[in-house]
Amino acid sequence: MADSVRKHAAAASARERAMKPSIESAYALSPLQEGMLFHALAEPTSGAYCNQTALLIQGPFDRAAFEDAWRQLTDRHAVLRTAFAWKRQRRPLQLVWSRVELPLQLLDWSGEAPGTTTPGPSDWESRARAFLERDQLAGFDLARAPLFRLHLVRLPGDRHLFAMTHHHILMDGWSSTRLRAELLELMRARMQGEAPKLSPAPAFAGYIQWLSRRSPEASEDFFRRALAGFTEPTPIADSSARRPSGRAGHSGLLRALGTETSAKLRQLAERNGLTRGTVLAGAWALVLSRATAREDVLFGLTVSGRPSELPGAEDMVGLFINTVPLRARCPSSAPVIGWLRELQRQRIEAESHDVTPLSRIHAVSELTSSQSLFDHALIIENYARPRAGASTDPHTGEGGVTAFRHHQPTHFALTLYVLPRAGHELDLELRFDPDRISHGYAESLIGSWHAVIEQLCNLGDSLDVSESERAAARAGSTASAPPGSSRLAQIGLLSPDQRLRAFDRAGSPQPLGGRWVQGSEEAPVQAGSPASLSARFRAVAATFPEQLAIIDGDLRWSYAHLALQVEHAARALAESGARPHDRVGVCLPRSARAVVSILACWRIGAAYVPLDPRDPAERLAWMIDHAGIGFVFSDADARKQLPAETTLLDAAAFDNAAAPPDPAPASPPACRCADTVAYIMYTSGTTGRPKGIPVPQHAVIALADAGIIATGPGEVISHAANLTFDTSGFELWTALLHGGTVCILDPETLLSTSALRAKIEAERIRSTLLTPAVFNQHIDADPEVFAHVAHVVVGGEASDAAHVRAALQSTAPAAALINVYGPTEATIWATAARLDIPASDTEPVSIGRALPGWEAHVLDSAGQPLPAEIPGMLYLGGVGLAHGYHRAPRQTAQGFIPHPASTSPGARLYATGDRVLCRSDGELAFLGRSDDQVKIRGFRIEPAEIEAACRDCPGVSDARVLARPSPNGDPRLVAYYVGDPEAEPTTPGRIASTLAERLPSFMLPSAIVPLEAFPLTSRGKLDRRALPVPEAVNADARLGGDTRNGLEQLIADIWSELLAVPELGIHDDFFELGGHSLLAVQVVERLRSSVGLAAELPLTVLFDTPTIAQLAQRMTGAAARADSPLVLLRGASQGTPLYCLHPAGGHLTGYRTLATRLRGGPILGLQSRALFDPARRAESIEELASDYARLIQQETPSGPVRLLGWSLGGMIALALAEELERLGREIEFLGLIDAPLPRATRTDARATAAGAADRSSSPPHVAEEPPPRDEVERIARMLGASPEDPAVLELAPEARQQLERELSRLPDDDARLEAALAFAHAHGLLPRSVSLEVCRLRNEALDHARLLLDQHVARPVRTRIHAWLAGAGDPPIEPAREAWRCLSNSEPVIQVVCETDHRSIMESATLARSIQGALSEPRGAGDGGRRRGEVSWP
Amino acid sequence: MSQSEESQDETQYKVVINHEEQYSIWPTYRENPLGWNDAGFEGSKDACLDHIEKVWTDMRPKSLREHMERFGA
Repeated sequence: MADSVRKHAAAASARERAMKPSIESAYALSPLQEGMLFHALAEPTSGAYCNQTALLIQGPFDRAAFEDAWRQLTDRHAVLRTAFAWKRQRRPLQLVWSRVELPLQLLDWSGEAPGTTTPGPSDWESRARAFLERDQLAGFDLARAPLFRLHLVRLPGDRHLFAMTHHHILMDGWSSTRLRAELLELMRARMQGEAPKLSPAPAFAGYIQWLSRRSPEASEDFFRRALAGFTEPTPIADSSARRPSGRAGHSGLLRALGTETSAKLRQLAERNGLTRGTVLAGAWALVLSRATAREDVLFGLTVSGRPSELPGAEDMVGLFINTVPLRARCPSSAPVIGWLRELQRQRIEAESHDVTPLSRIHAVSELTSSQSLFDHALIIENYARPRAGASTDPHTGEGGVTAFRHHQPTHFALTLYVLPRAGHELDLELRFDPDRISHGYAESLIGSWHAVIEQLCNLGDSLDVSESERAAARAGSTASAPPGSSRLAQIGLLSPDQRLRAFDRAGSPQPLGGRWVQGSEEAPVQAGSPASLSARFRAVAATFPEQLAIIDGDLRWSYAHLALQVEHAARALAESGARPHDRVGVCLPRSARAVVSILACWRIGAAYVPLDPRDPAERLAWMIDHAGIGFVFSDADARKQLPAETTLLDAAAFDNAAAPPDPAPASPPACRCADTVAYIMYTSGTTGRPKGIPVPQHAVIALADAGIIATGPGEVISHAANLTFDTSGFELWTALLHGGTVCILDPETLLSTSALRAKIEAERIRSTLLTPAVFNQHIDADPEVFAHVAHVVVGGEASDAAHVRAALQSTAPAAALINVYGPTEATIWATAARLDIPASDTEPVSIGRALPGWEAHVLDSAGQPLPAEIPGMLYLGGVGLAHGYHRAPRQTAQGFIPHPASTSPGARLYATGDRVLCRSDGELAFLGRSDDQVKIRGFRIEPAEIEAACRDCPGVSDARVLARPSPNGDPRLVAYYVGDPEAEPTTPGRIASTLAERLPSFMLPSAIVPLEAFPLTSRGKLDRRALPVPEAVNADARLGGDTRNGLEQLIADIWSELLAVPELGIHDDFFELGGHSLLAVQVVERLRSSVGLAAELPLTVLFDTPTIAQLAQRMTGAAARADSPLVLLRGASQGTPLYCLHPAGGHLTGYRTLATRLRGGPILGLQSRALFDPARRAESIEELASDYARLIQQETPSGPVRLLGWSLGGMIALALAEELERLGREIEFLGLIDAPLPRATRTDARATAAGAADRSSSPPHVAEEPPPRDEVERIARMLGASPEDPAVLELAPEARQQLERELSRLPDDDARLEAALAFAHAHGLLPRSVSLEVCRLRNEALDHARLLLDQHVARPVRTRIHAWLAGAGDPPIEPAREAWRCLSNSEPVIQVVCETDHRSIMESATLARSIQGALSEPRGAGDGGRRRGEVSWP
Repeated sequence: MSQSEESQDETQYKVVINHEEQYSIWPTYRENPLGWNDAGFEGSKDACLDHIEKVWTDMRPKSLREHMERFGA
C-alpha cells in the first residue's frame, strides 16, 4: 500500500473514532452486489472490481470549487456513503452512513512547492502510473464508508491529474459518468454564481425495494426455455492452452470503426429496424460461432439492468448492470437480415429479465455446476468516456479533459467493449487476460469482429469470393447482389480482399518445372517432366546403372540389376494377362522383391494394391474383390492367406535374372493426362469396411520431387514403413526417382535402438522416416541415436514437443528434424516443417506449410478462410489430390468438395477432418480430429468400422468403440456392446476371436465390455462419460497370482513401470493390460539389459509368452540352456571391456542407467546363477570369484579388463581382481560403488592395516545395518522392496502401535512376517504382487549375502581401488580410506557422491561422470605415490 | 460429421459437376465456383449424395477415361 494511502486511512480512522457516524438507512444488496461482495471477500488482494478513472485537466483549475462540489455530491448520493455489513447478519446489508469525511488527497508534483525539484514531463507520467496502480491494488475495506478515493495532483505546466478510485459494488459506469457531469455542473454554477441545474436523484434503495417485490419465477422460466438444449458452452479461451504470459493484468486492443463504417452501421440499423447493439452483438456471435466451429453459441452480454418499469431508474446512481447470457444459433444458410431481426426479437423478449442474477440463470440451465455459462462478455457502452491513448496531448480531448487511465478489471478471460465516440463514431475494444488468450489470438478476434461488422454494413456488395468476385476485383468494380439474399455463409472472419489473398497464399499450385530438389547436383531428369513413374524410373536407371539402388540385408542391387528384374517381372505379369490400368496386388513384406513387383506393375501401366500378408484372409479377400484385383505378387508365406482363384506371381522368380528378357514387355501407351492410377491404398472406413483411395501417378512424382529431404546418388534413405502405409512411397520414390539408395530396415532393427544406430552407421543412412511413437522410443533410449543422420522425418501422427526438444538438444551434431503431415487422400504428405526447439512442451508441434504444388487452407464451418491463430478445419488441394474413394461416389462427393476460390476451373479440395490453426508465422499447427477418427501408433482407425464388425458378431445387437487413454496414457481401443436378447448369449472372448478373423491386429479392441444398455445423455446421445472404465471391469476378470520368485518380481517391476499399472498378477496378459508392441520391445530391452539372454529373448517374445509366469518360465528354460551368467549391458566393437558384478539381489537392473551413460569399450555384467535356480547358490565369495574369473578368461582371453562392483558386487569385484591378477591378467580399473567394507583382511605382513580394518568393521550397508529401532522396523526390513533397499514402513503412530501389538502376539518370525505383509497390503504400502514367497526369497538372499561377507576374508590387490561412497547420512570416509589402503599397493581414490543414498547413487549422473573420468585416466604413471583427496560434487 | 448432425443440416444443396465429370455438392444459395456446373438436382445433403451414388457410375476422371477408351484398355 502506498504510504499516502496508509496515512490517509490512519487519519480517517482517527477522525471516525472522534465522531462516530450514525447509520442513516440499511437495506439488502442486489444480487449482483452479493456476487461482487463474495468475489471481494474471496480474493481481497486481486484488485478485481476496483475501478479507477484518471483524467488530465488542462488550464486553470479551481480547487476549492472542486472540493466543495464533491462534498455536495457525497451529501446528495447515498452510495457515496455506503458500507457493507456481512459478519453478523444472515444476509449481508448495505449501510448508509449519515456522513463521511471526503476522501480527497491533494498532491503537488508541479515542482513549484518549496523544497521540491521540478520533474520532467515523462517523470510525472511514470510516477503517476505507478501511484495509481498502487492505489488501485490497495483495494477497499468494504465494512467502512466511503468506498471511493479521490486524488488531485497538481502537475507542471498548469495541469491537474484527477483520479477517482471506487469499488464497483457502489455503482456502474453509467453512474460514474453522471457523477462527473454533476461535478462539472456544480463547479460551473459556483464559479458563475448560479444555482446548479441538477435533475433529481432518486435513491438506490428504491431499486432494492422494487427488486424485493419482484417474483423471480417468470424470469427463471424464461431462461429455462431460452437455454433449453444448450449443453456445451462455447468458451473463447482454450483452457488447455493456458500459458503464463509473465504479464500482470489485462491487455487491451483498440480498433476504431471509423466515420464511414459507423455511418453505414447506423443506416443498416435504421433501414432494417435494428439497433446498432443487435448488429454488433450479432457480429460477435458469428465470430464466436466460426472460431469455435459451433452453430449454437452463447456469450455474456452486459446490460444496463435499469428496469423500465421502475420510475426514475435512469437517474439513479448505483450498481445496476448485469451480465446475462446471449444465445445465438448461426446456421450458415440463414439470411443475414432475417437472422439479425430474430436476434433482436429474442433480445427484446429477454430485456424484462435482465435483472436475473447469473447464479439463478445457471441453475435453470442444462449445464452442470462445473461448467461456466460463458467466459467472456460484450459491453456496449451507451455513455461516453474520454478516449484513452495519446493522452498527453491536451488538445485532443473535449473541454481540455483527456483520459489518463481507465481501469475496470473483471474476472473474464475476455471483455469486448463498444465505446461511443463523438459524432456517432464507435470504437471496438478488446481487453483480455494474457494468461488465457495469446496476443495473436486476441488480434485475430478483434480483427474478425471488425471485418464481420464491415461486411454486415456492406451487405449490398457481394460477399462471396466467387469467380464473379474475382472477375469484379480484376475489373476494379464490385459485383452486386440483392442484400436480401445474403446468407451468413457468405460472411467470413476475413474481409473479402483478405480472403482472396488467403486462398492465394495457402498454396503454390504452379508446376515445379525446372526446379530441382535440394542436395543433388547431377539431376538425371528434370523434375516433373516425364509423364509416368515407370518412364522416370527407367530414365534414372539408365543414367546411374552402377549406383546402388537397394540394400536389403546382405543383398545389394545396382540400378541396372533392379531395372533388369523389373523387366522380367513386368513381362511375366503381362504374359499372365495383366493389362494397363489393371489392379495388381502386392502381398509381400517390405523387401527388394516388393519394390520389383511395384515397378513391374507400373512398367505395364497397371496400378498396385498393397496387401498385408498378416491381415486376416477374410479382409484380404474382401479387398481383392473390391479393388478388382486379378493378379497378386506374393511369396510362399503369403500365399496361403490369399483366395484360391487369384492368379499368383512368385516374386522370388526374378531374383537371379542376368540378361534382359526377350522380347521386352510392351510399354503402355503414353498417357499425357498423367491421371493414371499409381496405387489404391486401403484405410479404415466409417461404413464398416476399409475404403480404397486411388492415387494418380503425377501426385507420387510430385511428392518424390517435393524436396523434403536430400536425395540423389550416394544419398541413402531408410525404408521402414509397411507397404500398406502410403508413407512407404515417400521412402522408396524419393530415393529411386533420383538415383538415391533405399536401405530396407527389418522389424528387429527398427525396434531396437542399438541395432538401428549400428545400421545407420554401417550403411551410412542419411535420411530416415519414423512415426513419432518409434522416434520417441529411440530418443528416450539414446538421444544420440540419429547423430549421423542428416534428415530425420517424423510423421504419421501428432509429434510430441518434449521429444522434439530432447532430439534437438542432444549433444549430437544437429540432424534436421522434419515434421510431415498428410492424409492418403492428398498423397502421402501435404505439409512439412523443419522443426526448431519448441518454445513450450504443451504447444502443438508445427506441421509447417504446404509442399510445392499442394494447397493447405484453414476454413471455417462455412468454408471461409480463417485468420491466423483461429482454429478451423484443414482442407487440402493441388497436385496431390487422389481421385476419390474407389467405388464410393457418395463418400467421394462428400469428402472432395468444389474449391471455392481456385483459379484452375473445376478444382477440388479434400476435407481432412483435422482441426488446425495457422500460426502468426504462417506455419500450421495440428490440434486434433473433428470426428471420431483415431490414430494409434500411426494407424488411422475409424471406430465406426470396428463397431460395424462388432455388430456383425453373433449375439451382438449394438456396439460402440472409442479410444480411451490406457493407464500409461497411450490411447487404446475399447469396445462396448449390448447383447441381442433373441440370440444365443455371447462373451467378450467369443467376440474377440470373431473380430480377429476380420480386422487387422491394430484394429482389435484392447477391452470388450458387455453392457445392459448404452448410457444416454438427456438429448439421447451416447453419454461417453458414463461408460465404465475397462480397468474396473477387467479387475474382476483378472487372473491375478502373486509373484513366486525374484525373476517374476523383476518382470513384474518392469511391466508395472512401463504399463503404469501398480498391481500385477503373474497370469495377467501384457496386451490386455494396455501393452502394445512398442512397449513390448521396451520390456524386452530392459530384460536384456538386466539379465542378458539376448539370443533367447527376441523382441517378439511377449507375443508368444504374454504373461509374467510364461515369460519367466521361458527365460528360466533359456537360462538353463545358455548356462552363462554373462550379460551384455552395452555393446561396442572395440575398447577394454568393463565387467559389472551383481549385488546381493543377483541381477543387474541397478546398472541399467549407468551403462547407458558410460562411453568407451563394451560393458558386460555378471549376474548370479542363483537368479534362475536357487539351488545354484555359491557358498563363498571366493567361489563366485573363481567362477567369474573363468568366464572372463573365456570371454576376454587377452588384454586388460576393467571391474566395477556395486554393494556386495564391490566385494566380489575385489576378490575377482585378486583372482585375475593371480592368473596374470592386467586389471586396468577396479571400481567399488558404495561397497561394504571388509570385515577382516588377510594382511599378516601389515599388522597396522589389520588394526585399521578392525576399526572399520562397521560396514555401511549389506554386512551390517544400524540395529532396528523396534520390532516393527525389524519386521519391516524383512519386507524390503529389494535386498538393496530395505523399506521401512512409514506409519502414523497409532497404526504403528496397532501393528506392534499384533506382531507381539505372534509366535515366530514367519507368522509375524505374514501378518506384517497383510498389513502392508491392506494399507497400500506394498503392491499385492509382492508375496510372502518373494519376501522370504529376498530375505534369504540378504541373509546369504551377509553370511558370505561375514565369512569372507579380503586379500590385497596390486590394482588401485577407486571407491565411491553415497553421500547421504555420514559416509565413513576415513575408515574406507584405511580399509582400502590395506588392500591395495596403490593409494585408494575415495570419492563421495553427494545427495545420493545406497540405491540412488546408481542413478546419479555425477557418478557416471566420475567413473568416466577414472576410466579415461592415463594408466601406469607414478601409481604408487599418488594420493588423491576426497572430492565432493555439489 | 455423424448422421444425426447431418440430418439437422437444413441447408439446400445442389449436385454440381466439373470438367472431369467429378461430382460434388454445393449450397444452392451460393454461386458456383469456377469450373463447376449444376448437374440438375437439388435437395437436402442426403438426397444430393444419394443422387450422386446413383448417377456417378464411372468414377475415373474424364480425361483418363477417354485416354483408356482411345487405347482400348
